[in-house]
Amino acid sequence: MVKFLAKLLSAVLMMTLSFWTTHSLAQDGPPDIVKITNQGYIDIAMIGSDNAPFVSVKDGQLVGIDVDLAKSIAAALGVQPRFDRSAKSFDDVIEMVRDGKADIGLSKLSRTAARARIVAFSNPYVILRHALLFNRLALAQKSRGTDIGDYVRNFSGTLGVIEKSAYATFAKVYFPKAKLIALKNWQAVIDAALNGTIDAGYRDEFAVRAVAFDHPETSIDLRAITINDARSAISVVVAWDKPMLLAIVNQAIDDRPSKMTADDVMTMYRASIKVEGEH
Amino acid sequence: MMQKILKLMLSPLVLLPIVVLAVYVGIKFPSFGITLSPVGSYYISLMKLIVLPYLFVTITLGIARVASNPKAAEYIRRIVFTYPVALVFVAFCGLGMALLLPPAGYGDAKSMAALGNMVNGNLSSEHGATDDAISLNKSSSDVGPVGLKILDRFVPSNIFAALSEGDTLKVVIFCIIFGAAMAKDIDGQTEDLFDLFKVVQSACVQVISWFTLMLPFALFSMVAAQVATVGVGPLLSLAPFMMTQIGDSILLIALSVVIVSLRANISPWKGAIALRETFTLALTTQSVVACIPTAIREMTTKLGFSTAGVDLLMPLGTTICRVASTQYFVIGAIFAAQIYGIEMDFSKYAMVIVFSVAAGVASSGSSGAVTVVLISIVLDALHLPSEAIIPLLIAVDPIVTMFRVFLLVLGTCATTSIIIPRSKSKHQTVGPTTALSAAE
Repeated sequence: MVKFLAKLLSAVLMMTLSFWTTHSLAQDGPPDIVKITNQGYIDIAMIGSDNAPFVSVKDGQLVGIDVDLAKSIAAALGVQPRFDRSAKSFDDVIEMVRDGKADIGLSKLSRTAARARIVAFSNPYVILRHALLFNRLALAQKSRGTDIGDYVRNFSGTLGVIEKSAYATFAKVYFPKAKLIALKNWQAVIDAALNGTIDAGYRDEFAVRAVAFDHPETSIDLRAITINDARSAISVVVAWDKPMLLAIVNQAIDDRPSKMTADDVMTMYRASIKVEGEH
Repeated sequence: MMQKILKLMLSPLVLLPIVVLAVYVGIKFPSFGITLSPVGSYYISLMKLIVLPYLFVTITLGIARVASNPKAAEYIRRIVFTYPVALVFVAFCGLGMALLLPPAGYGDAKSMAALGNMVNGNLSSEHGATDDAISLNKSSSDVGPVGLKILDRFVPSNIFAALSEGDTLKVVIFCIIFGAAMAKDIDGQTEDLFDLFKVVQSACVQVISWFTLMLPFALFSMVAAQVATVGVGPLLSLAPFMMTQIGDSILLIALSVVIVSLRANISPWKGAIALRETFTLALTTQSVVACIPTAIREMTTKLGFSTAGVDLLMPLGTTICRVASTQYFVIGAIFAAQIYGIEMDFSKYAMVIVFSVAAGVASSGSSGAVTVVLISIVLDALHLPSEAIIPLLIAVDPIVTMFRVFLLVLGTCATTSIIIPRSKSKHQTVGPTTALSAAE
């Protein structure tokens, strides 16, 4: 009888213990993860405008490097991705994550010091060199036969950037003497460089190369100059108080088969344009 | 017999159908056209093989004869006067033609896109590479004084190196110095050396006539390969530029024939016929040195200009009096200015003329793409982006260079005929017609 009681007691004890353990893991696990797994989806902020091959809509479907990465992060969490494309600028995406309106943000976002003060950045999933898109004529007339490298290092002309983008910040660091002009979007920057209202546009090498690919006629008037030692680390943005989520994002990035370069991005871009052209 | 075969080989009735067929093959079967390119380059290589020894003895003989002539000072005066005048004259002709026939044309969107692709190198590279990469963290680079670098090309240090590299300019300068020394007739034995040189010279001429038998085959493969390499796209989008270039060249070539004929006291038509083989070679071989022996032969035997003068002035003129490059640079600069919509005023036109003549002088002894790149001397002075214009010019250069060589050879015939004193040419030969029949 005593034996039986002891057995019963130990069984009850075991059950309570095991129940308590599982219960406590679900209840008190990392809160940033628990919230997402409980709701069954992850909120992902993305810029509203298409930006192939990172994010674009094809046949009503969101596709691109950023979309694929977001899906693999959601899969690592065992939940569904939910995309929110209400952001109008790159900085809007950052702010949505900061304000808790989204769990993570992806939009070919570059790490900058200013942004890193308000949100956490993952490891980079693409590294792109910076590049300038010069008006050829303005460059020839203003550099006056001096070495192009010297001219760019001391660049003091007008420099066009996309407003509220990382390059608005980078420009102040790398080209302190330049007169900055913030324009609405990349097309506005290209147009301004073409008609000479700015001396150069400033963005990453992929965006600059794509101009010559999309509009070969502009190569007569525009000259691309890549900067070897200024790089943008394209990363995922996570709220500062979600360390476990950041770890999962980093793991999803590290699990990718290889690091992407500008050449890979350009190849994907050409492929995506080609497919669209065939439709 | 040999002469008859040669004549047949070089007759337009044989060569013209070959060119037409080659253009057709180049367009229709570009990959086959490109595989033919070695045949053409073998021909040019063989010509160059014999032309350098030929040039060496010919120029040395020429300068020695001129220098031992009591009228040597007169010669030098005429050269110093004629060459700069000829360069400035062709520069103005180029400018006039460029204003008459705008080399940039009226670019539509499609041809601008084709030009853009050429500038960008998209045609060949997979990713559409950016033009340049620089580093921000680098101290300012030191660029030495550029001004004197042009002179480097004129000062020979090693005649064997110059010969082995085919550096015509330095060879010419060495021959001038050496020939002038020989004219001094130090031990009274120079005549023996002259005789030796004459033997070498006629042997070279013999070899050249053998190689000329290859010309129809070489011509076919060269033209087919060129058309195949250039492709039809660039030819169409740069058609206005090529029209201006070719138009100006043809005008100046016609003028050259008239000048030569006037100096030889015959009608321009007869003059053109007398220079027939030079015409064919100049238009087809794209190599100035390959044309010089034939031009010298026709200028002396058929047109009756003095051997001493022609032997010296044909190689000298083609090397330093670069009429074709000068007019090419003028038209190229106007082309660039029009592409970029630059307002041209009197001072800018003056700059184009001055810098094109300077670039023409700098192009002494160069050929092909090296010549084209020198247009940056003019474009940099005008602050135009040469890095975008040069790829465009190089894309169509295989065609344009034919006319540059043609103009340079004929233009040099013209300057040569102007420099050689008229009285002497009359005195030395009985008459052009007799000389012509004597040669055959």
